[in-house]
Amino acid sequence: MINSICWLVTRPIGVELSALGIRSAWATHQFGVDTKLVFADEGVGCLLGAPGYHTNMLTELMEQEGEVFCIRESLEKCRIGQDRILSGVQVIDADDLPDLLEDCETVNSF
Amino acid sequence: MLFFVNKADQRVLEKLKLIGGEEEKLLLLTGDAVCFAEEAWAETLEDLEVDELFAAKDAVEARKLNVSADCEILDYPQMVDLLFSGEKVVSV
Amino acid sequence: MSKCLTIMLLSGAAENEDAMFSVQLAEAALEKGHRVQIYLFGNGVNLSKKEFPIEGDLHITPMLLSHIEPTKMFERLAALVEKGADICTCHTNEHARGIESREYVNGTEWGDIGQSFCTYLLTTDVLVSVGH
Repeated sequence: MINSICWLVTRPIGVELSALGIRSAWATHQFGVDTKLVFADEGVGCLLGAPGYHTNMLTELMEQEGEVFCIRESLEKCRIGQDRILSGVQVIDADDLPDLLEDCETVNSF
Repeated sequence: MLFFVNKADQRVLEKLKLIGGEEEKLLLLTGDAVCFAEEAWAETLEDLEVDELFAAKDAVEARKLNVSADCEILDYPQMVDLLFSGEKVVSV
Repeated sequence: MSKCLTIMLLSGAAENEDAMFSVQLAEAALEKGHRVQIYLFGNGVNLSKKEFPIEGDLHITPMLLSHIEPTKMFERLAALVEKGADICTCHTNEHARGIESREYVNGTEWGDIGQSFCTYLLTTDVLVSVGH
């Protein structure tokens, strides 16, 4: 049995995989699996609050106490200021991700 | 921590450090990712704290590679055993 | 001891080797007496539908045909089910591809991420995501 999982979204908003990552996180969170949704690389572009499915799902996930993170260095690489991303998303340094994932039984990168 | 990698994109290797940090890693290369099993990548993988390196036999044979001596070539039953060896599986 | 492997497959046939790899991995696991669950997600759902073979001359060179044919996994997927694998799809991804009403490959089943996939997580020892 897998009780804890991390979904890592690295694709931008226009790529289906980014939506699939968010949907997977929503599903496992709702199912009671300890879930962490992390955005890295171009995936951080999904966090700008653009109207549509990604933002709606992320907002609902966080309202349901889902944990959403993004990598600070990815924001910088994509030239996105931290003040632009959705409220509730936790910005973490890349160096802190391994510790965050220590208790995740499996990690899946999209 | 067992990383499962099936893409030849070098950026995928960066995920090993991003996710695994300084922890020792096992790396299973399949499909196009077996290119990283070549000797030319040995130092890079060492820098990423890859402790054990495995590559899928059929993918290696289909690509005519110069596989590093440190790389263990696995067939499918062996890959199944590796996946079930108790390591946390990270798919990148 | 028998264990359970779950594969989340995100690629369809032909586009890369993911489907072939996943099927062969599943075959090996089943052969060893383990259980296998496959969740077809994203383009992976394309594998779940029965092929409609064309009749007559294919107009494909033998060399190209021999390159293409091994990548078609429809029958091998059905064979996995016969050997005991549990395979389901994300029906919403089928819908997105306009194939939801098409007949499933024998044994593969309608599914969803919220129930089918999460149920897989309840009983699996290992989850591997295979995609590009």
